[in-house]
Amino acid sequence: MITINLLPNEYRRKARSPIGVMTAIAAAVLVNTSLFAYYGYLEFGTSANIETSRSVLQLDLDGLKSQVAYHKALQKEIQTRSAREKTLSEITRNRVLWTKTLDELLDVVHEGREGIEHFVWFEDIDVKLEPSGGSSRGGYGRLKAAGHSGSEDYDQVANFLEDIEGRDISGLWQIFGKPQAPQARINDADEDLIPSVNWSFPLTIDLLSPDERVANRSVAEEAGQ
Amino acid sequence: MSEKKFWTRFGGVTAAIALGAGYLIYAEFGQIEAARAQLAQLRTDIKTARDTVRKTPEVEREVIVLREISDRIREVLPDTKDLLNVIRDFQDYSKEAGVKPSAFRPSTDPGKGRRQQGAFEKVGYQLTMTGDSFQFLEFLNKIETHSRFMAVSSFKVNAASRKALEEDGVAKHRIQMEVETYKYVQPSAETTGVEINGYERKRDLLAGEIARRRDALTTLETYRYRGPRGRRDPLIDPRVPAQVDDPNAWTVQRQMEEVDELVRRMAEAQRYWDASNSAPSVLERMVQRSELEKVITLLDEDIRRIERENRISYKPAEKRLSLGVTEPLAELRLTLAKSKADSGPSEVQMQTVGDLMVAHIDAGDYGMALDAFKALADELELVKGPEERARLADWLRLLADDARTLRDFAAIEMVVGGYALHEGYAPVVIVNGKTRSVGDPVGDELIVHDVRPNEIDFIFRGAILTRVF
Repeated sequence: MITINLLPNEYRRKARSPIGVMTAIAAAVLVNTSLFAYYGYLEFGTSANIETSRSVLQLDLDGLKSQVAYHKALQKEIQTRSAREKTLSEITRNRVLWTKTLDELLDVVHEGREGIEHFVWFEDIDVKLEPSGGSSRGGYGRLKAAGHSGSEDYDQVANFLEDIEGRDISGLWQIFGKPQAPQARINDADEDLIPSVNWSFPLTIDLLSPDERVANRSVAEEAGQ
Repeated sequence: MSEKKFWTRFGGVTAAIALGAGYLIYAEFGQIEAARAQLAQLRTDIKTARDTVRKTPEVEREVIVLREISDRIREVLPDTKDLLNVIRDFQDYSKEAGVKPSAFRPSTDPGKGRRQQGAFEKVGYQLTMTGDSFQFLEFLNKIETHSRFMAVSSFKVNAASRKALEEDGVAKHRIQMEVETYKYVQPSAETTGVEINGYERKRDLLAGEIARRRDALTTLETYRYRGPRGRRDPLIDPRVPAQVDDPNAWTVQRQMEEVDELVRRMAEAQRYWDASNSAPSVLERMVQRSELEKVITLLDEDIRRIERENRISYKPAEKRLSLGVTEPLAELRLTLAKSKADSGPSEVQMQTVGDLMVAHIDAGDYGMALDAFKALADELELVKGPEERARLADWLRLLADDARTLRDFAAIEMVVGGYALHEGYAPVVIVNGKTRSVGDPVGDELIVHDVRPNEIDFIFRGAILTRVF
């Protein structure tokens, strides 16, 4: 709709700037301009700075990534190769060197001389190792033997069992526990042989656990045995 | 447009623009926060990466060491069962140790052969054999010091009976043992090695560490078995017969040890014989033969001495001496004699026998000197060849004559009752109750040659021999 002012000029209300409108517009423009300016600051200042930093850091990280991958590959290789070493130490720990053990048993037997000491010999020697152990007696293994002592004195059996534990004679104490309590039975005298009398006795010794064996070995090594 | 409408629109537009800007700012804040968090994360990642990379040289060194010792580890704990080679090794070991295998088979124990803890697999083998305790120990030692890790999980030794021992001469204990070896089970993600720059240079710098770790692996607990060392077999009944046939006999242990030593020397002789037969050159063959003849001669000598002095009375020792020494020695001598039937004994053999005879004569053991000569006497007839050999043959004959003369002279019994030595008078001596002077005969072959204080010289078979009284 068109409005026509037909009043003469002198009656017309003098045209003047609408202060309120101007103020309002100016305020609106100022506020919005400020907002956009702040947005611009955030977008093109702060954000751009952050992006620049990020790009630099990302570049830095990308440069390190290949080195990290190399490091990880090396570590993986270590894990694989070390596993074999670890496995080896596991099975080594459970092993008993029977050559050494039997050789030392021979030393103990050799200590006994006819008429002087226990003078022992065996009908058999039976050895079994149980690396995983068990709850029953002899859980980690056991050495059993049917022995004879060529002496009229049955206390020689006790002497022999004592020698087995003797730290100055052999290292059997490092892997075995105490022998079972001595017991013996006299055999019929054989006058065709010297000595004619001999006592049969069972020898039963339980193996110590791998940890105890390792600990005893360390003790022996420290003591210079 | 009315004023009211204007203000309404104006307000609306302004508010809309402000809201839009506010939203943009809000969103920007969000993005900035996210970017800052990302930045922080990147910084953390970079720090972690740098820390990781800083440790790379250390890890690299460990990898290089592990790579360099991996061959040794694989040898000890291989990826394969390789049972065929294990059995070949058992065979070699049993030969070297002297045990006689009678059976071998994979372990049937249900617990065996199973994969253990995912890292290794046990491979069990059961062996049955015979041998004495020391042979078994040697065999055991070879297994326990095998380059591949092996462990003996059980064994049982049943002693040979006294009767069997007397019949066989050697202890044949029945032995059953269970040997376990291990196969390493590789993890599925087993990696292949990455390339390390300057590997050789870095490896060279780590030579000390590599050697130390390698040594640590090779010093897995092992034991050096040093043989019987004069100890008796604990599975042999050591009692001796109450009726000792000869008081000269050694103790049972000594008898076994002496016989063992003779058996060892017999084996040595056999080795020289084999070596001489397979010698690549005539010179080498001659060297081996001369060594063989020395060993045989000395062996002969010791056997004669033992037999003469009745040192061996323990049945097993007797049997072992016969089976292990006397019989093979006779056979070897025969073979050797056949091989040189046309030439007679060698210079070395004659020299060795001659030296022995001289030693016996010096020791007054004329019978032993003649026994040593007897071993060669027949063959001496064949000596023709070079002058040196003929000279040695004559020397031996001369030594034999001397030994015979001395033996016979020593066997002549005489009782010297007294003697008289006075300056200006012929010396007088009372032999076997009769007075003799220089030049007088004593018996058939003896003539008084000279008399000195406490000794008389006689002429006996052309030689001047002194009898001290």
